[in-house]
Amino acid sequence: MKKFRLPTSNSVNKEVPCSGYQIIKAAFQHTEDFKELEFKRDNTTLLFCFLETLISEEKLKEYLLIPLLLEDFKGIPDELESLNGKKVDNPDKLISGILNGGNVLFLCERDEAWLFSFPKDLQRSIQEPVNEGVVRGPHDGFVENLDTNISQLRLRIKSPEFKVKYHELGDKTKTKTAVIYMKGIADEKIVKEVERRLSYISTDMILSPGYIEEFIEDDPFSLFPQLINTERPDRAMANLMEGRIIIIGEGSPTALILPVTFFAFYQSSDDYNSRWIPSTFIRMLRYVSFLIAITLPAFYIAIIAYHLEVIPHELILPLKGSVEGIPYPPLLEAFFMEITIELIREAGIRLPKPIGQTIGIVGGLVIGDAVVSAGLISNIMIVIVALTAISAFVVPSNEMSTTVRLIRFPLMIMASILGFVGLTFGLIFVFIKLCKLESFGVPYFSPLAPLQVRDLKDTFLRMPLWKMDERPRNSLTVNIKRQRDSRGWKKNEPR
Amino acid sequence: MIRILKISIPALVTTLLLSACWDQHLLKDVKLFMAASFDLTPDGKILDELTSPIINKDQGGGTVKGHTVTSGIGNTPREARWDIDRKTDKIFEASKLRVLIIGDELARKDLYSVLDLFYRDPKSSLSAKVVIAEGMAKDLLRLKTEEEKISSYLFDLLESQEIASLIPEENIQSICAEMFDPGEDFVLPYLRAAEDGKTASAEGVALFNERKFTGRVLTGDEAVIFLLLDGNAGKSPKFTKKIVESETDNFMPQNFVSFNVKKAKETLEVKVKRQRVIANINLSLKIEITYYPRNQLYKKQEIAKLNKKLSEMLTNDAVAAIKVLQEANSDSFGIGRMLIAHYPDYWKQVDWKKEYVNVAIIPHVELEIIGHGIIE
Amino acid sequence: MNRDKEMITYQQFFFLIIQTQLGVGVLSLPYVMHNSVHSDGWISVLLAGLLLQGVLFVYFMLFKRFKSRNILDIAGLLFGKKIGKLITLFYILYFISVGSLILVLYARIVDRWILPHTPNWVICALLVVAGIYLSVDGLKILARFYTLVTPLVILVVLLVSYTLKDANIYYIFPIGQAGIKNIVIGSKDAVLSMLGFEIILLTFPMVSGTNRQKFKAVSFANLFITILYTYLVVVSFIYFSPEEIKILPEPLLYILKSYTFKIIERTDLLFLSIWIFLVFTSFGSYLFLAAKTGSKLFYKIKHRRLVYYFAFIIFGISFLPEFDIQFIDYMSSYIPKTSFIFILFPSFMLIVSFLFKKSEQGCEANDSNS
Repeated sequence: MKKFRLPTSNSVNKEVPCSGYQIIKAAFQHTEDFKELEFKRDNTTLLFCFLETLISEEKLKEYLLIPLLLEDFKGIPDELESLNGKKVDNPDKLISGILNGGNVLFLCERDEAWLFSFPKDLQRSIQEPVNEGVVRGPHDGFVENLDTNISQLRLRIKSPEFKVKYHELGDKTKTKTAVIYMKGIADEKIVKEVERRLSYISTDMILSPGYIEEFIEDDPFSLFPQLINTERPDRAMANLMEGRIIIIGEGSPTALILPVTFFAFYQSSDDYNSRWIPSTFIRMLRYVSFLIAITLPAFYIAIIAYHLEVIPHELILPLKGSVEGIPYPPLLEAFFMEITIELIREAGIRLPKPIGQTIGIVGGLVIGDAVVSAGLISNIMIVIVALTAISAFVVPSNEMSTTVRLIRFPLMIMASILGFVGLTFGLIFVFIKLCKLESFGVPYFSPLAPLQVRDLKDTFLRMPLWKMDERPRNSLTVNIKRQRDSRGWKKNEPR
Repeated sequence: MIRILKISIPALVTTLLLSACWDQHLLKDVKLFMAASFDLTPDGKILDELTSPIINKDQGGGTVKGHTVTSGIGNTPREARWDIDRKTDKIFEASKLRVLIIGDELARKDLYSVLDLFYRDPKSSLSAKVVIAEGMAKDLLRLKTEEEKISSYLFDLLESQEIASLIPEENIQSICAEMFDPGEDFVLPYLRAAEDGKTASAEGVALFNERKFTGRVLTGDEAVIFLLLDGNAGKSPKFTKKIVESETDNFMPQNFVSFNVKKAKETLEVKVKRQRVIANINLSLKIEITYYPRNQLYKKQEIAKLNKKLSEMLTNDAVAAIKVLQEANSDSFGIGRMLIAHYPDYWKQVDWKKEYVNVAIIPHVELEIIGHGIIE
Repeated sequence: MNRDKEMITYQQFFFLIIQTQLGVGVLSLPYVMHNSVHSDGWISVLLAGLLLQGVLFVYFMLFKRFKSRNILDIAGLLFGKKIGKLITLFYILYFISVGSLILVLYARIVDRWILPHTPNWVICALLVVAGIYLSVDGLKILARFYTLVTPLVILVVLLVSYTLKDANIYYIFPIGQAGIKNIVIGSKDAVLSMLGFEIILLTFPMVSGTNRQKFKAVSFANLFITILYTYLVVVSFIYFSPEEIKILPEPLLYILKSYTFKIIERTDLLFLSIWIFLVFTSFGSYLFLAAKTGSKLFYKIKHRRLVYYFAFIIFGISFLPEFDIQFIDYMSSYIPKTSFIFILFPSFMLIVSFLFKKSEQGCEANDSNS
């Protein structure tokens, strides 16, 4: 191949009459990364307009300039037309095309405008998401590029039923957003509902899926997250196959899964990568962690401040010794420690990794130890708060973890006002809320409320895969059957 | 409207926060009393003593450094408590009581008048063990034990003797049903302070008639066999019996056998025949020999002989124990309850407290050796 | 109104009924039964369950004749609009008074057992606010929540069963000592403790499923409650001696007071917390029923608003015992007595509908004529 050099000069003949060109020129005024190239071939003027920061120069050269300029120009060859070019009349479309990494080719004499798309590959390599680690399982994750993300999913689900619908969200940012679902498994009504809600979004900027989430979730005042955020393609895929819908936006590695229930936040793809008995155990552990995380400090406060009769004989004197001489009421004590832990956590995230770890150690060991020996906090309270903190972080979902950490504060306050009665009412409020919430028509606390016995097998337990012949009902799937007798083989079958 | 709710709930919460927490009862602000005694003073007042552990705060939490005893006097147990409350530096808290000791003088008058204090209070600890003390109950609290806490010393002492089945396992609640029942009486452990003032020893079973201590105590083997007959025995009742009499040798251990009861099953049958109540108590025991220097247990007939001999001896013990029971007029087998259940007509016409001494209570102990340690 | 939104399944119906029935009364049930029938109280409970089944059958017949109508609509059809409204008003008053009775009794027990110094209005306010929160959003939420908390009943049974190891079975002998007459009379008190099944009268048409399925759910609920109550009564009767139970107004709490486990002592406090859940569900039901009935009378006001108003009234009533301590006793003796009128009234309606040969079709014809 002959060497081809892009002309650097901006030698555009301003007199070329070409409809649309002026509009584009005006739109990209003061935009210095906007480039125009003009070539004359035979009796045609070819005028290329593009944003050099968005376009991939190699691709432009290879697919457009070389084929067009090295040979005699006879019009746009068919191959190119079929490759990725199309004829566009609307100047607005041309502008948005350029903004999406396109190259506009004006054929001035013919008064035609062609749009070719050669976006620059601006993406990091595929890595395992750090915030959703698994022990065993695929170690790839979504990236910031929407097409890559969709292709990751497509590679996993090779089915024509895999449907993608694009939406442009954000008046200014024009963030491309994909709504993905499996036709014939997912309920089209929910897809419609999602699109209806998306259509109302009229903000000028979509920063992240968090924006979309806030615009479309059912109850924005609730503490509980109603859509799952995930960066794991395998998790997204599993949810697709259960009949859920996925929303991915350009520029963010996070996919939104809907509709979801409370219990979905406690499922991790790890559960399905290991065998079912350990998975069930670990899943149970997570639910226990939920209860511990929301009630333990409140329970402790209620006991220490109200119902010391409840403490077993063996424990009462050690406990008494530990709280002896603490100047603050237990509620303040607990708040102090909880907030300390939150501070350590937040500081650990913001700082670079090596320092973050140091902060954790300093915070955990030094503060904990010093605070006890200074007599500010009882050491039992440290144990309680530490246990609670660990429990809150067991949740596979960061959003739910935050929720859990927040819910315990009102419960602690209730318990410090009325002891067990307060705690009971606090729990009543939490559970009513869980019963009331719905996520896109799915009761949030299903399959417990309303009770759906057949769904329990993949909620509290993780039944063997060959037992789960049906998809969960709480995804409102229209195709309940998943498999039929996958373990139909016999041990001593004649070969 | 939902907005009003959303504003009103936080508002309510804040008002609650700002106001006092009415029932708050912080662990750090209380003085825990863990053992109590009640005595009758000569002038008819109630003397209440309570012990509380002294807790020293240090790095690793708290350690117990001895205990204090506080005493109070009043016309009622409650008033005596208030008297103690006046002398207490922190908030008075007796809901973690573990041991309640009643002096026998007071127990002879009326036990319920003390326990009403506990039954009536929602916070009280009904699982505390109740014992009767020989003499003044407060002496037991003032023992100079090696232990840091007198409460746990007494508690552990009682617990170990419950397992050995020398004393019944009772707490404040468990005697309540029988105290109120006309057809059954309860029993309590009987404790005595040793002369040296350092230890206490469990003596046996204090017998009650309705709410009053009868003054009679079953001790030693009689106490154990009584608890077995009553179906109230602990995990491993033990006996040591002299099986060979009139040996000239003055080296004694040769003459004895010791055994543990592994399994006990008792049945109480009550019949009314010609207006006379006959109660048969059958007790079958499966025992394990734990000491038998004559070691001939590989012989079948030796075992049979031993079975028979021991059965007889235990039956004799049972007869002796029942005699004491009837003399004390304490119907702790619940024969009256059986009469109410099966012979309600008879029960209505009889004055049970007078009739009880005339009841023929016939014990029959059947014993079977099922084990002998790891040698024969 | 959106009907679909309000519909519950017949399985949920079962939970709805039992959770409404299980409430304040369960703590003192053995005491009440012992007061009236002594050691044979448990037979009365069984008998009451049987009687109740008869009442339920009457309800069923009525609902069969008037498909997809609740009791107030039927009353309107049978007696005309004016009287129908009057009946509706009485039912509102009834539900409100039962709601306030629950509130007052609950406050008394909480006050007695765990929070003696906390002002009663705080304890009441908590229940009322929680009740509002539960019942504003319709029957579906109630049904979901009740299903969720039903496993707590199993916990109650387990806790109570633990005491069986110290029980004395001879305390309930001889069986039948109270005499058949007393046992039958006593079953009246047992029926009162099972109050709550009136929820059927209003919610029956809001349940999806065939009449047969619904009636099955109702019968199973009755069976469940009867067995549970009998069990609880028997356990307390064989744990406490007959003389003792006379002085224990809340035997089921007392029974657990002396039991300790390694991790938690004083199981009665745990039990009380569970019991608050059960009381709350009954209270929520009655608040919902009051508002539901109210919407028939004040059809311009939204359900949500009615819940607020009625909750406020009930909360107001809960202050009355502060002025007159006798008031609780008046309430707890008169309200249950009048409730007989309300639970037996449907059978009168059934008779009327038979006598005048009125059923749904006939009535609708009449309705359109008038």
